[in-house]
Amino acid sequence: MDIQTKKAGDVIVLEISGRIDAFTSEKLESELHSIMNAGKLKFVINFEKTNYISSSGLRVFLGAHKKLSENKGQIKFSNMPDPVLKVFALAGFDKIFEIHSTEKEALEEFHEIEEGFKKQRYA
Amino acid sequence: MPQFKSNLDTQWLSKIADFIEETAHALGVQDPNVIYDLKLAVDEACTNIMTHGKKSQKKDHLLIQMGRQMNKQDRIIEVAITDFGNAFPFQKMTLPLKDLSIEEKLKNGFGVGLIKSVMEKTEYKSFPDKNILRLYKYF
Repeated sequence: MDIQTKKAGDVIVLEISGRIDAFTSEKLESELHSIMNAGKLKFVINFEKTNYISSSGLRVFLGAHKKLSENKGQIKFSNMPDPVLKVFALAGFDKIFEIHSTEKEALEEFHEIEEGFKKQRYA
Repeated sequence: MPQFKSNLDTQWLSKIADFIEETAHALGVQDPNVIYDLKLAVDEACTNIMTHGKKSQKKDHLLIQMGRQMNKQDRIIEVAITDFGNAFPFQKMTLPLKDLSIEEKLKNGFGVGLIKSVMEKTEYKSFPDKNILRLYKYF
């Protein structure tokens, strides 16, 4: 598994390649925690190059979701291949997380929320 | 019957996945969705043995055997996973995955729910010296 990290404004995008299993999910969890501990609260996970995920990977995202929710943060997913999406759906995660077709769409959703807050603030 | 011997270390999970994929192809499985389901179920079962069940293991490895049953109606892949630790209440774990709360999803047993979701049938038998989990999948 390989993780590429980039910034899009105040959103952190993680592109994950390869397998997310019980062994590699430790690295993923460590990476996510390290970024969250630096104060980042908005994440998009791009799964385009992810070819496998097990319950160990789902647990990492659930843990991150819990921590982010407590701090008014959010994690969104994009570019999910069908087999990965199937595992998310079997676990009922498609009801908990926002899953977008593209990374651009997920980022736009974050920016629309931000714009909405600004409009409310200055209305 | 093709067999794979794995160390009780999660680093071996990718090797197990390779064995499942290669053997499934050799046994005539073409559908990538069937292969993914087999890899997922075996991965979850082996992860349980390597993590939660590791302390009770009396040998330093687990065994995976894979074969097929064919008759006029059905073509079935069978995977048998043998470990040498304490018995695990596999059959009692029938988690309604979608209905669980976030807290419950984080608890152990989550992987067993996934195994049962993607396999047609599962059997777990405990013997004095080993446990065998059998997974069945149509292809």
